[in-house]
Amino acid sequence: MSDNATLMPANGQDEPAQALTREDILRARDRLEVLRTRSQRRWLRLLWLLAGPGVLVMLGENDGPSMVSYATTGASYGIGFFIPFILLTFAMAYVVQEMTVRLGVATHRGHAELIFQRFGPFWGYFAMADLVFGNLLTLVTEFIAIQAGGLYFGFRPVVSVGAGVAVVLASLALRRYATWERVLLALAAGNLLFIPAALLAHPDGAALAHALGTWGPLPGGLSTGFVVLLLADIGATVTPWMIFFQQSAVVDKGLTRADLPQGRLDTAIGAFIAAMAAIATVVAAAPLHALHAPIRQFVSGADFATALQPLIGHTGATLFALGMTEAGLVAAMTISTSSSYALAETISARHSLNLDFRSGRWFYGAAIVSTLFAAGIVLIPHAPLLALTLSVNVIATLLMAPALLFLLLLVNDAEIMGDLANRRLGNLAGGLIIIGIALAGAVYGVLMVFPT
Amino acid sequence: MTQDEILRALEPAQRSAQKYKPYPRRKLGWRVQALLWLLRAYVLVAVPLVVYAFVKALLAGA
Repeated sequence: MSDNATLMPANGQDEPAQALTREDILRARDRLEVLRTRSQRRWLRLLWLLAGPGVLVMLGENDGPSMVSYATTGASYGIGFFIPFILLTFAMAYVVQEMTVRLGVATHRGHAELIFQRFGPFWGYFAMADLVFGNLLTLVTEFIAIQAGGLYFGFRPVVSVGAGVAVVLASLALRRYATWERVLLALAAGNLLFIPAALLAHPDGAALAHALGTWGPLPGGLSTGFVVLLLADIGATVTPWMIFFQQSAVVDKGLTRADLPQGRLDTAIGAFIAAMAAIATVVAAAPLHALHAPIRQFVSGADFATALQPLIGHTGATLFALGMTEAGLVAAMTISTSSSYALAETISARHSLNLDFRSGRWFYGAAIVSTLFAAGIVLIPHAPLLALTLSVNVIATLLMAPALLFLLLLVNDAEIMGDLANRRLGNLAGGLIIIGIALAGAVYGVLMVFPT
Repeated sequence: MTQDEILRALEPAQRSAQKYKPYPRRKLGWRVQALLWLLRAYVLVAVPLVVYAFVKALLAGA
């Protein structure tokens, strides 16, 4: 239990352990390795063992729609204001996500179950329902990204989407958190494909340095389009599913208070890598800005890859299309798991990627059903995919405020957090970011609904 | 792996026997209550916006 936390779960903490489960045994195996490595003072190995949730959540948020948003940014504004701005949004994401690491190590509870237990069923079901609904629609957009990437390489939708479903289901079939996480980390490394694609665009180093130093230029100045893109890039960095996913993953991985420095470093490394991939996407798409490419007619990441082919070459465009496909695939895996955690935690069902199928039928069932549903929607002929994509952005941004408010309330709950509760400076930074993101989300939602 | 090793490796709150036992409800002060009422008002505004956006996008798609 956490130091100085005064509250224990309802039935107490000091009972002798009863029947140990498969979940306990697998988690204990991972923890023993961590304890052994810590006692040997092998710090890099320790970081390797404890890293995962932070890197995955940050690279998972570099998903299909987010990368399209960054590509649109590059094609609309080139190298300038948005380069340092993207760095700032990932710094904000770090501050928010660090709170989830502290919540996880202090309580060993997921975010959805903490809301349910501490604030009651109304807010518990509300938080779960809005997350699962938003995730379901987002999952559809991830399969749209996979489908679009497949089309670039000449695959029929049923093949690319079917392959995406197979990968998601195969990862769940591992029934082992540690293996699932390592497989996902390997796939998420594909996010770095945008970096060589950016290098093939032969970016001007001086322009990049100038942008970082001056936050400019900003072609066209302030406009509605600029505000929408600004808010879309914020929405591409901090979203509700990230909060739920990282806290649950930290708990499932078994991180404790002693692991907090590594948990923070994991999140910081994830934020840095994801920021580099996001900036690389802006840079790779920047040549389209000089050509005034008709990006308003683009409907997916594959359209960017096709348009970029004469500018960054066949290799660059292929890397770009592969990166877009990977972004959709990794996000499909993390987002479906986020729904699983939230649903199972709320209905008090067992929730862990270390469970067998029988014990975790609700947990795995939620991921399997949502994955099949989302993939099925994408394959329906003439389905209103664009409508769904637009709605996802609105729903995600409008529902950001409740998620952030509960995060701040929970991380200030000294009864469960003990000395890991937010301090004044943390509340000031976190509060300002949360207010800023919530307001930005609300403005974005309103601009999407009432564009004029 | 023996039961002792498992018990040593996991903190009590990490074991299944404890992990699934709920925390009690939090006693909410007036500030938190007020924030939650503001949140209810926000939800009442946000949900129709979401529905409107979805229907509008569907109609545009059709």
